[in-house]
Amino acid sequence: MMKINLKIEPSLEELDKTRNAINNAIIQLVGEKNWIYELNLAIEEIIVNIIDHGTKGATINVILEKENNKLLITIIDTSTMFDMTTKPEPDLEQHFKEYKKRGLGIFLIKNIVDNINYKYEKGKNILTITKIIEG
Amino acid sequence: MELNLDFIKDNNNIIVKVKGVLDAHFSPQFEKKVSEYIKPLNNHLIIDLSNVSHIASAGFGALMPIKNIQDSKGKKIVLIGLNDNVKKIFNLLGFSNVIKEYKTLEEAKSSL
Repeated sequence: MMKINLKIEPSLEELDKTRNAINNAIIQLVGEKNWIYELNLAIEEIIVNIIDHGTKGATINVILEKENNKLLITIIDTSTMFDMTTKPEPDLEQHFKEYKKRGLGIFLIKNIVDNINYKYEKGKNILTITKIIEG
Repeated sequence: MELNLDFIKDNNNIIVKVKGVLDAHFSPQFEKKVSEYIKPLNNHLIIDLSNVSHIASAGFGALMPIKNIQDSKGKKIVLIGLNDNVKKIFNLLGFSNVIKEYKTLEEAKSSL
């Protein structure tokens, strides 16, 4: 089983570097696929959520592994406990009516990945997303 | 990496050519610069995204305060030049229900 562990700079200014590193890691594991862009975006949205809600000085690690026909991506951070998966689905009509500029990230993540799982263990937020490898 | 905005007056329209990415880092400055530019004006707005390779939820979200300014004046906001990846997310998030997008500048202009 192939596994790649990336240490992520917890800074919005470094997002471009982060995107490149994750893109390269996914390609290394599964080759070129037409869904890599959106999966990378989902991971970016998770990282941005951690940076926005997280504790200063917290570390973020992204572990990518291929398991049979699945790509598992585990995002581990040392911020205070924060479960983004419990956020309720947005009412899009209302969202646009109020001209809201934030709050669609989690909705986007849930629409892109095949499974999402959260746990808090030993002072760490552990979020695992699964993508079925196809295409 | 940087964000480049080019503001062009074209008859009754303002065209904003954007170059870079609209992620959580760059979107706030995109929103601020475009909002400040259009606030004193009374024109339709065409945002050209053909040189934008990547837009995250923060980038699409930044369009909403800009749309608010335009709506309050009864002026339109339209997008052009979305690449396939960006367009897919634009549709997925439901922005296609509130902001129109066109392939070319000509198509956008004739819609205004």
